[in-house]
Amino acid sequence: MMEIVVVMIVFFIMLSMGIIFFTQYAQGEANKAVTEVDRANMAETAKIVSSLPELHCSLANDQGLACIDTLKAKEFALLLDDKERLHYSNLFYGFKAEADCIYSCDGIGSPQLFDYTGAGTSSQRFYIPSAICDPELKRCGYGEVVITQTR
Amino acid sequence: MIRKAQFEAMGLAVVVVLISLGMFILLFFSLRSPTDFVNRYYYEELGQNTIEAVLISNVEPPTGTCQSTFSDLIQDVAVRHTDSCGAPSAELLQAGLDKVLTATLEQKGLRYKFTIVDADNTKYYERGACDITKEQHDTPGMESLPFFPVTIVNVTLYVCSS
Repeated sequence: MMEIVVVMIVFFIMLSMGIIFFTQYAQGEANKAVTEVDRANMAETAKIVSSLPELHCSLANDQGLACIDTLKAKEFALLLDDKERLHYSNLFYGFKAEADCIYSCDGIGSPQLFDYTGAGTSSQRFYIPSAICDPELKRCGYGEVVITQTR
Repeated sequence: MIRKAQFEAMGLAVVVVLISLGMFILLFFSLRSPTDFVNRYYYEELGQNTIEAVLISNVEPPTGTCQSTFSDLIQDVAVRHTDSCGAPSAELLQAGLDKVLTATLEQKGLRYKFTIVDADNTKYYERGACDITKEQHDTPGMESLPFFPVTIVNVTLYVCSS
């Protein structure tokens, strides 16, 4: 009788340890999944931003997806200041995007595209290499579109 | 007495089976390598976008401004053998690309291999410590500049997994 009780006790101790271990493991995996979903959302938003015709260059030598037209970007930013533009606010809710010129930026600048971030505390960033072109100056600098997500 | 011993053996067997099952489940989950679609997307797009953006960007000359793009400089070096923007094109190309790559990929701690090579395997530019024959990398970004009838110059960027 005593031996059966001991075996049962050992069994339940091991079962409890297994449950605790598995719960912690599952919690870690759930956190990883949340982070991964956030990053996937970010990549998706980056993909949308980089393929917006509202921002693309249109001069003969700089057509292509990896190019932001600064004049269009300024107009786009003004357009998105109007919070009634529900299409964009739904599409980019929680995100901010700016075109950051890094090299050969003389006279080109780094326009902000939109800012739909709230009062979150943590943020992560995603970078899309892009030429930033001024059609008036007829020149392009090398830069990045920086997408920031705030939670 | 025999019955009691049988009960004990059964109890132990159950415990052993349960522990084995637990370990099997744990190993199954922990050994599965997660497919990181975001990283794959990022590295693939990063290579191609970097090259496209670089080629249409204007070069920063030592003084003043310059209307030549990196694509023009590559043509100068590979085909025309001329200079642009008041300085040797090869030097401008080298200095400009070094500056761009240092301020972007290297600052983010990414390993890469950037090359500009023509159809005769003449190298016009090479930078990056990634050994593409040994290290893991995704599909490279690549642009072919056809300077017909002289040659084709391939600009390639491999971004290797850190």
